[in-house]
Amino acid sequence: MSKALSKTATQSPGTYGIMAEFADSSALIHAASHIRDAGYTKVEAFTPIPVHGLDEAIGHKASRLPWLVLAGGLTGSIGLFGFMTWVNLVDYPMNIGGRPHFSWPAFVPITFEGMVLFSAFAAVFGLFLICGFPSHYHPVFNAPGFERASTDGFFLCIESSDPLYDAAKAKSTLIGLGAHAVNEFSE
Amino acid sequence: MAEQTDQLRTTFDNLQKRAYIVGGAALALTVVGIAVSSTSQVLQSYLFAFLFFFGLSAGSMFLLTLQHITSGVWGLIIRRFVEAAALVIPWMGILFIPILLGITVLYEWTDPVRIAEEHAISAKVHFLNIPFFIIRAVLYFVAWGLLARRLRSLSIQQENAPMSETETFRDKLANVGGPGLVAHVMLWTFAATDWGMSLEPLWFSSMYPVGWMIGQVLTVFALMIIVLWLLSKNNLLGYEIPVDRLHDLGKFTFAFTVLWTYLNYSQYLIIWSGNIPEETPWFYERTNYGWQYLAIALIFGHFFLPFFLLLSRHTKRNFKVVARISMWLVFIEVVYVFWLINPAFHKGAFQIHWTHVSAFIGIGGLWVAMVIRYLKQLPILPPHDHRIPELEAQLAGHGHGNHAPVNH
Repeated sequence: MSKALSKTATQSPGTYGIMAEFADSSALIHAASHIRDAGYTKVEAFTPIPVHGLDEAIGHKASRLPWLVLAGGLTGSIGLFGFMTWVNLVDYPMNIGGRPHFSWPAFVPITFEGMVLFSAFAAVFGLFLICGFPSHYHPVFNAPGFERASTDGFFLCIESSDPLYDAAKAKSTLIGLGAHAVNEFSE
Repeated sequence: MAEQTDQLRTTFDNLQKRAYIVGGAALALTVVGIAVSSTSQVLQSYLFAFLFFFGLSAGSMFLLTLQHITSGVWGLIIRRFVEAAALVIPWMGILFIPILLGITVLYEWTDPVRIAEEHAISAKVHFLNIPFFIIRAVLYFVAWGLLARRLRSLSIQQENAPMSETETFRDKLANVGGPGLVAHVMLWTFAATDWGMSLEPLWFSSMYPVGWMIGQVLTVFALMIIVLWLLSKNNLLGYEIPVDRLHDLGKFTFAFTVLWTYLNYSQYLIIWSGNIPEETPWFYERTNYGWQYLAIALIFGHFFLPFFLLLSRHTKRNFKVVARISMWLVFIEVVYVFWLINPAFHKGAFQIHWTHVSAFIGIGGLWVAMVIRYLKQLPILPPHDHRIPELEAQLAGHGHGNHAPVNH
């Protein structure tokens, strides 16, 4: 295929990217790290099970999720500590066993639980936010055989928005890395 | 990977020699304190130093038995170190003799006048009496010594057996380690009650031994990170530690920081909210008269600081950073043990004496020298451990996860 032809293929408006299927997780990691080293940046992997080391292999930067969880935890702990302080000092001061109104030792368990609860909220809903949930449609479902990503298929996708994207070259590289099936798919 | 290099051997020899000299000199200086200061001051300082270093061996025994039953490569890389530290326990029994000789000076419940005037002490006299205290101490050291030596003799047999028998030894070690861990927790519960809690015989708390025990385990994790960092930095380890395995140790350190806080705070909260006169004095003494500054330092230094520093994955995976945090954790544990023990003798005013420092260096020097004595006997990475192939695969870059060697 001439260079001019592949260029037009790249620019065809309907192409979302190219999807390659691999036999197992180690073949996927191997291929992903080669693709990363080749300079591709718009790469995503799909696996039926969590695969350790895949994040590094596809060159994903550290997730923002931990910062959201930290913010959630601080909000919960400081918020609830502040709330108890306000209730006991300002809103409804009560004499409980002669203890000071600001009896902080009693506030600690709630502060801790608030931290746990709000961290968990931030983790779950932050994950939804980062992953773009809820989403009823995604172009990757157009890739042939992609439904097997939830049973036994290990997939690697290079998106056409990648500056290095060249369908023919990517296809031959992916086959060279051991992919079974490589298909371009539409948006 | 198997043999200890000459370089490591020389380092161990030099360190051991220095530890014996420094430790011996510091202990001699502490004894001079009897003439310059007082016998009771020297015994108080000695008890504090003894309990801190005994705690390192006890925490090591906990981790030694634990890693034999849980397996995992994190246990493989610390196995020899905790084994050596656990083997020092019988020798700590010899260092316990001065405490037995000074029992009437240290422990209020030995005083006939106090027994006569305090019903709550006289009621405990069937348990808290000098002969039974000595019998129990001997039993603890014998039981701990037998457990440590049984695990060591299996280690030596494993070294001499071929690799094909590695799973037999894994099971044998786990079969000793499981009951051993239960025995260890029970032994420490009694020992902590005897040696530490009974300093204030009117007070009691079932959380006291547990909170302290978790502090010991935390300190041993921190110490392992420091030791591995030092050896690795000076190219003495003989292998690279995969960064995921360092991360494991960092995660344990983080988890035990939280667990320490949970247990110690629970104890405080229960006693604070109960607010009854036989329980509150222990905390009252430790949160007033100058001792409160140590208590505040513990809240921030034993919890908030390490908690926030270890929260990030980046700090746990950076050898130099996590080693620095570990050094702080060991230091703050010294403060914790000091705060547990010394207010018992100095109710009403903060007190620290130079013999605290000299006794600490003295017992510490001898402890380090004895640990090195056992470390020198076997390779620091057990070559016939069943986890060796797993570590080798990780070092070769196979299997899942990031096994890049850690940076110093």
